[in-house]
Amino acid sequence: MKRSRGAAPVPGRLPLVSKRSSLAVVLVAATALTACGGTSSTPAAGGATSSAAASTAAATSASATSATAPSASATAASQAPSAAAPSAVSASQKPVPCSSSATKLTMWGWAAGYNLVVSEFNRTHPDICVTLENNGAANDEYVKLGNTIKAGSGAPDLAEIEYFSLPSFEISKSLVDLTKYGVNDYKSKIAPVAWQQASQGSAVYAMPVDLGPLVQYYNSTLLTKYGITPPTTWAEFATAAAKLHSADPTATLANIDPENAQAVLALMQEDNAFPFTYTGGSSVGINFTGAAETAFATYWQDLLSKKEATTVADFSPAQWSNFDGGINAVRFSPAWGPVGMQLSTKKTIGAWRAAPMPQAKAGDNLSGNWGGSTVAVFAQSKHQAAAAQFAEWFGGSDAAWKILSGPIAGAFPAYLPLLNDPTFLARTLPISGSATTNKTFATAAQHMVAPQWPPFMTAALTQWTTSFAGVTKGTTTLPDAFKNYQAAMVKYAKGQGFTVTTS
Amino acid sequence: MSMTQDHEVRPAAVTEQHGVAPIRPRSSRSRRRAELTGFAFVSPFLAILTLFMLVPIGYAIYSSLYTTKLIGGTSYSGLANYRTVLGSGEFWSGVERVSLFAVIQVPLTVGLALFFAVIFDAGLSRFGRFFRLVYFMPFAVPAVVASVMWSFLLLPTFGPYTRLAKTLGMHNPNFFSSRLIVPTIIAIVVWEWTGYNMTILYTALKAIPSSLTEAAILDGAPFTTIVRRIKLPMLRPALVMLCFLNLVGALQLFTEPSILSAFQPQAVSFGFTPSLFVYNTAIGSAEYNLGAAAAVILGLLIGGISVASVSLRRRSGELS
Repeated sequence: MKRSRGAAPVPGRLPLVSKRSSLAVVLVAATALTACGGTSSTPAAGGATSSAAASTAAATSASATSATAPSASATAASQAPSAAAPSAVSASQKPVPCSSSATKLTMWGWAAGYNLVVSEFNRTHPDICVTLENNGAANDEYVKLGNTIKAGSGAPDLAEIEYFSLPSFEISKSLVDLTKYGVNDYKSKIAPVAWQQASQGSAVYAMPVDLGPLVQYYNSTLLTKYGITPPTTWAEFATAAAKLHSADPTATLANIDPENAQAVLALMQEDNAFPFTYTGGSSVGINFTGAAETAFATYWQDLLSKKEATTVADFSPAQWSNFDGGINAVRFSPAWGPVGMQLSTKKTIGAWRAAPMPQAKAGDNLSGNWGGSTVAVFAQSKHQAAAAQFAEWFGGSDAAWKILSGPIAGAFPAYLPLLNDPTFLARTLPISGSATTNKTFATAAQHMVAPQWPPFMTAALTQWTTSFAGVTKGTTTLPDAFKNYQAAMVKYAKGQGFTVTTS
Repeated sequence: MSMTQDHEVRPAAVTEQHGVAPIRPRSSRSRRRAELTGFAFVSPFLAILTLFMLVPIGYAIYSSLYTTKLIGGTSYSGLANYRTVLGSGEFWSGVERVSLFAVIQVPLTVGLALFFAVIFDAGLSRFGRFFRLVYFMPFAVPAVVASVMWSFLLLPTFGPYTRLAKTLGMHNPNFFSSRLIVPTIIAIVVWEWTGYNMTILYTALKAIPSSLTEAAILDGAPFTTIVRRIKLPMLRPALVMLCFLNLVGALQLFTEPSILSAFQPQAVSFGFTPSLFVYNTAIGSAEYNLGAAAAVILGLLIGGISVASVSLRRRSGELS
């Protein structure tokens, strides 16, 4: 540019040349800048590209989870076992005509059949109009919710949130305490384990919807063949596992997916070895190395070392093939499990029965919870009363549960009127033949100690995969993974400013 | 380059004319007009650059200097986040992994692309046009789709390639095991990018004057000599540029492992690549400030390599 400026004073044709050439220089510079986009501006490119890529990936992982139903549900479920099985998302929604005077609410959710429930609400409550938006399942949705909270705007009025993630939103004061909108009227209608997980002190931050109590779901044909009755204690379970494996070396009694945090934590809860404690505020308990937790890890490592248990990923094609092919005889199944399992079962249809979970102490009847959702109202909402009314109706009315427990949603109720309803308990599924498995699940639902989730479950789940991948690969043991995870989570919690207790 | 030389001859004339008053205002006006025109041309680019590059970078640098805690809120923390990232074994293991990845993937991709480009250019293949299209096709498949597709094709126990390997006598290979995951991703990336690289090299080969090749043939040079002595030297700038672009791409590896991790979570760890480290720290652990610091460090690393490569190319005369 400097040089062409010097050329300008030359009279005649030269100014023209200079004009052209200065233009050319600018253009060349611009092109060079564009061409070197990856080069000169890379400090930029690094950050910008990864963040752009990040959002794309978030979006795609969301759509991957929903689009590729059965096999991708491995992901959906490992991060997000919602009661309604990690499938259908995009069931086409009939737009419900709303009157222009109706209060407009937006709800985020992903579970199958929720759109039908929303339509029913809009039909029967003309003064409120709820629009359901799917912004990804579980963690994908929570990340987006977290962003709206950080931005201070853009949050929906309501969202589907799993129990374990509620404290993460409570700590940022993002949820509305529903007690001022009469939620306590519903307390007697909701299973205590669900109610407690939605509460903190006297505040109730969400309306519980469904639950995932664990039972021992077993292939009765296989167990009968080897003369095994469903074990009632974990000691008996180990004996049965050895017996089955020695009778048929290709068969193993159980499978545990070490990388599935929620499944492992549900088993720990059932075993009275739940590692977290949190009741709000700035102190949190993390204890993966206590006596009960170490005993849990050692018990399972022992089965794994003797090849009497497998570590196949939950919801993977391999797992379904193991169940259907007589390789795994027992599934520790949440109540919402059989509906999805049925789709991948051919040879053993009708053979699966439910029995209570094996117990740490003979005579107990504890269970653990895996999955289940709530509906929460966000503090950003301008129509909190209307939103609360919807949430309470969603989890606590016969009309909503008629659809929620139906064939599309297939949710297992925390709603006691249905949980105790003889017709509901008498329901059967083809995979279990004439057995009324709902009875076993309903009993399990009444015998759960509510877990206390830490207020940083997203980080806890991310770290889990890192710490436990080696167990599946066989490069580390379960007790060592527990130690590793303990150290990582304590470090994280302290870094976040928490007072951490480890016993 | 010729333009520069042109101007360098001129300064003498300029000084002579310097004091001529009547011409100056006109020239300065036209100069300003020229500058305005130029600015009008670049302004869309500048606007986008500012909005989607400069502002986000500024924001990333700004937030990397703060720390947000669940208990205690946000506070200025200086370079503490940088120290945390630089002291993290997980971050460096990712850098090591992508470096290994680049050392294998870049020469492999460019080498294969060169091989095919030379063959098509020499007309050694009968259906050149058809095969060029076929080899280019993977590039038209978005990386996300390609990763999903390959993760099904390579599925342990059930995937067709796994079964093929089994029938060939290999013992049930797991393409996503810790030992095979890097080679698997290399294979996917090579599959995606060879066609694109080949197209660039093919175009560059077509730009070589045919008179040169004809002269060499008349002189009795065999095919290999023509390739080695004429085509390769003339392709050098294109080859160097492709190597560099592939290298930067390799260091930013993100899409393939992040999609594979959705199908095989045990195969891809938290900090499998530096970009994944940034993503998982910011999104997975909700430590946005730490993630921003890691992004800035990664950007500086790649920026350093870019600057080094540009100055190298400038010295060797490929850039001016």
